[in-house]
Amino acid sequence: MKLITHNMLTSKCLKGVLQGYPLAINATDVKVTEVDFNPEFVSRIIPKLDWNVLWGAADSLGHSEGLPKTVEPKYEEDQEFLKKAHHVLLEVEIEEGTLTCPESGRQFPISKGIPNMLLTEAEVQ
Amino acid sequence: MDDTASTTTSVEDNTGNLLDNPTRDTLAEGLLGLLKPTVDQLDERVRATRISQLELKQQIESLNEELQKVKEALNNHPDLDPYVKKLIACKHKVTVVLNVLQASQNQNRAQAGLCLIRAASTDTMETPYQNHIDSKDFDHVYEPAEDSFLLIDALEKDLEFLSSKKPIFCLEVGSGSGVVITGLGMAFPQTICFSTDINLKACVMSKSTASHNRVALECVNMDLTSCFLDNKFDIIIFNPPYVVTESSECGGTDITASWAGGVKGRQVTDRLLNMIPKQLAEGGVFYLLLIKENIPEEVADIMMKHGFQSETVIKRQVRNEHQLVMKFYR
Repeated sequence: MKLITHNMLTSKCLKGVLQGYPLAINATDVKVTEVDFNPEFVSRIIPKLDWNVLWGAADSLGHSEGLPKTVEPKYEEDQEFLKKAHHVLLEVEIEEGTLTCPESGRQFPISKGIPNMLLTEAEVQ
Repeated sequence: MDDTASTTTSVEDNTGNLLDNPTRDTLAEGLLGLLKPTVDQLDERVRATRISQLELKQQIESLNEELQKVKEALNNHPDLDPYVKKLIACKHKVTVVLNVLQASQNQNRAQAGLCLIRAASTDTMETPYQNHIDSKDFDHVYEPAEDSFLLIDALEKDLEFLSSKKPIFCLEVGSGSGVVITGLGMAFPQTICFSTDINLKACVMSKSTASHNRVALECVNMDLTSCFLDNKFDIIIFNPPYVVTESSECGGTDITASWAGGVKGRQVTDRLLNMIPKQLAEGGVFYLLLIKENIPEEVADIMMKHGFQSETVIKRQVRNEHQLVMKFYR
């Protein structure tokens, strides 16, 4: 699971949970694979993200070094910034670990890079 | 001896050069350009033949049944026996031919997959390579069939429209083997593809289909789109469990979840229809495969109430099933 996916996942479908976002990450196996860098594409992804959540996720995996906490205007011209964003969004992958709902504490396992977000009928809103 | 040695060296040199040679790509593209129309044509003809063979088989079967009835009516009239036998033999032959055709079509598709070029051209879509899948895995995951390919054909037909949307995030709900979303990922390398499936084995297969075709796919084991934030996806596609079944058959997480659709074959689809308005990004589009029994007009009505326009992209009759792909956009 890449951090871009983490940026879009919520546990709000759990009964009694309002936001369910962001899910806390506890990774036991993180893999980094090289992905072709396309600055134009990364620039188009940035506005679709919750940057704070991305920064927090990268930080919890020890990959926040050099990554600014806020997105500057004209970020699309800043190659260094785009490279960092590209790295945390697309190259860092969680293979094994858990995601935890910030409100209920319910844990969702990640196995072989696939998060298991299935709920029992009793857990659903 | 010297000659042989020098020939060998030069061949090796050439091979070495070829590997880094930019003309190899041009050559490959040229070859592909030459071969692809023929393979496509062959594929199309094989498909047409398969359909007519199937129809023939059905007709023979019904004829057979009728003859059996006539035979019974005639109190085992001895003259009919050899005809029934001939028809049965004929039916077997048709089945064999059908299998052979199916095998050759699969091979064609595999060839097309092997020759895959991450097409920058936007008028065709490659069928993903699937030979990595062990056939036993299809005991647990829906095997790509005519409906899967109809969905791919619908997306291919709409490639120009889809590229005009400049999609960033694409999602297939219930991706099964993953061929459809992988095909989409191959056509649009500059997107991030996501897939969900309620069946973990399907998630694993989708991921491996994508990676064998060098598509980066993000798979999440979830029910429909229940755990995604709102307004993210530019394209959502869904080949639902559309078979009309008892309501109680619906709601599993194994292979039955891939086909059992409950009442009108729409129980799962209708749940997703209510999520689509929230899940689609601004300007997003939703592609849905349906059969006639699902009452597509009703689906269009539901989506109209959500503020969506609808359009039928493609239709096909497969055996007794009338399949179609609809798209919905605001």
